[in-house]
Amino acid sequence: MPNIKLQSCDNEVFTIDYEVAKCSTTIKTMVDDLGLEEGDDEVVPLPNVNSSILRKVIQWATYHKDDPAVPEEEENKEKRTDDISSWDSDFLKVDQGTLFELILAANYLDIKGLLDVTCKTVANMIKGKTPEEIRKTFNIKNDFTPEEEEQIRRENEWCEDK
Amino acid sequence: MLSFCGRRFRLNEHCEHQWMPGAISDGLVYNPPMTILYGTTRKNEPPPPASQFSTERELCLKYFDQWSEQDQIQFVENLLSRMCHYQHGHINTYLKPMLQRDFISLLPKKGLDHVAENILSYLDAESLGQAELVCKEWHRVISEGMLWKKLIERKVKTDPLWRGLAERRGWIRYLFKPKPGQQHPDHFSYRTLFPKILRDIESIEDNWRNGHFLLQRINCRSENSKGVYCLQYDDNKIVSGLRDNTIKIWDRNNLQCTKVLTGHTGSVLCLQYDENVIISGSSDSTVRVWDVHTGEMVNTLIHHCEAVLHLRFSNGMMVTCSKDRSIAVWDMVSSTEISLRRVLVGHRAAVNVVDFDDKYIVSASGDRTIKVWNTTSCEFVRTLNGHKRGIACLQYKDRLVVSGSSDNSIRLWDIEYGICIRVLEGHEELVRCIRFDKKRIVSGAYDGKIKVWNLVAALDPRSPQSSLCLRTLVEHSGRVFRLQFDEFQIVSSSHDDTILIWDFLNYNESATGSGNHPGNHPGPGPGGENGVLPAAVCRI
Repeated sequence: MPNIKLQSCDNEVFTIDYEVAKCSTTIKTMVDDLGLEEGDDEVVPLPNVNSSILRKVIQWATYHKDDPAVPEEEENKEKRTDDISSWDSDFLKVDQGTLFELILAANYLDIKGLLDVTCKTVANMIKGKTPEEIRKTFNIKNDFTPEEEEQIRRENEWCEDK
Repeated sequence: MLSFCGRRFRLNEHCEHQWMPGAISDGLVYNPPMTILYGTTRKNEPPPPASQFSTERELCLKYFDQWSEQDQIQFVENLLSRMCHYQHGHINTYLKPMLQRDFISLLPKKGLDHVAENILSYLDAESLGQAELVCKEWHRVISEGMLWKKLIERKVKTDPLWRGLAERRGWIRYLFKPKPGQQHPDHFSYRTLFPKILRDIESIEDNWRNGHFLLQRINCRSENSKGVYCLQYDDNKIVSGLRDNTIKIWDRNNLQCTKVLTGHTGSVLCLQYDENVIISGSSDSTVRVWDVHTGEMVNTLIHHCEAVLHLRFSNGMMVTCSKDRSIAVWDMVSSTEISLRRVLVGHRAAVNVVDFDDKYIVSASGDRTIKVWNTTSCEFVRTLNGHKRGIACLQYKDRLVVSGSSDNSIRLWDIEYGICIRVLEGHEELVRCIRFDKKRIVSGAYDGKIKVWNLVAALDPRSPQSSLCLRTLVEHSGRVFRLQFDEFQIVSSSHDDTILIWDFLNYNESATGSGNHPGNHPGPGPGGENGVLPAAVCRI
């Protein structure tokens, strides 16, 4: 299996199996465009990802390299957040800063599976909470005036009496 | 050690004076606060003067900045281990917000609105309503991302009830891509539409629960032998098989008969249609294929030697069953190229009903058994035993089989385990027809009564038997032969020569007089007495 070299923004070089790297559509496209071949010593620069996050992303991609491709017609399915595997959920037991960086990296590297599971993890942190609990969870300041808040609350009354 | 003990002593003193009264009054013994535990390395010297600290700190920071990240971490860990608990608490409070991220506000700042929207699109309506109240930026992302519209669209794509309602109530035109030249309303409209849909769904559920429906009646006015054995419907038409040997197609708008298909020389006992053909089975022992558009007969299959009691077809395969105790499996290339693949024998009496999917063919017979066959190999798999008399009807879907019998009971079976998971008692005569969806079972019996059952509750072993029958609908004056239903209606046919449409969707509209259904004029129509009856409240 050919290897590929990836360079993080802080100049650390990771040599990994191309099969693993390929789960990133961004890397796959770069390799295709650059016409890299086996044995090439070319390094793929990833200026938007630091080494600690790249290490995590590679860990995730290595574990998931044999996953079947995600079917495209997912649009027509109910959006679930209770289907995160126990491995992924352990993997994502990180601080919010790291989770945020992982989302940015998954988006930049175009790794759909990782982006989905990180977004779901954030959604689960929001689900079932009151606005005040959500603010506490993410350290957000309520910048509504009492009048504005009351107005939205009134519009949302149907939510509560459900 | 000495300093530790001294400190402890003072704490205890403090404790006796300040805490003990409370401890006595509520019967609990308070321990003194144990948070102040000094490390042994701490010296009891007075702190250095401020100027000296400032110089030392600058020096430390200068060194610190020169180290690698890994070394910095190690150093801070080392520092932390030298500090005491209240200091840890203080640092924790300081550190926590540094680790928090307001994902929904930060992602758009990086040009990633779509990722923030993707996160919010996982929320259900309740959580989305709460999220709107968090802060202005969240409110903006939800509004500009049209997340209420997307939530409604997702519901419509995944839930047949929402789909059907969107089409019937007309708000589907506000969803998905607008037609060229048309514009969709703003976000706020969707936000207010959502609760309206919920209320509409609630009222339909209430109508099912309370037996509130608008009843439409088609009188078939058969001349010789009266009775409607079978039917299937869609939004535009009802196709019915009659005892008088004909197939009649009815227009749902005006309830008039638009076509009469003749050719069978016996009663039409069963039929199914798709977008191309109608296939019917008859007591004349034949199976006939008709063009669904023209009504022309295009094929006749002569195989069974007695009445063809039931048939199902899909994906190029058909299964028929007969009073001759056999089941026939057919390959269908086209309406004119249908060939016999296999005959399944094993039942000891007439095979009244068959159903199948990719995995199993399921058949039920007057011999009181249900038999399961492998769809691909056609080999016998197992028998489901339990009914005490012959079985008249069943449906099979997603490993659930629901059957109705001459023992007046309905049974629910797990096809994989081959076990009966529930018996529904309540009908007082033979259960002749049965259908189920994700929520309900609807059954029709020889005493003319139709019962609606709570399927979800029936599948839960803890539900008491008395809670399972939601409603009994009594309008037919003869045996109920066949029925089909969806989220909004039941269509049933009977020996009484009528087809009834039980409409749970439009009940409220008719009650308030605002219903507007072209063709559904009350009273006798131009071609007979078919029409809408006043909203009926059924009897239990």
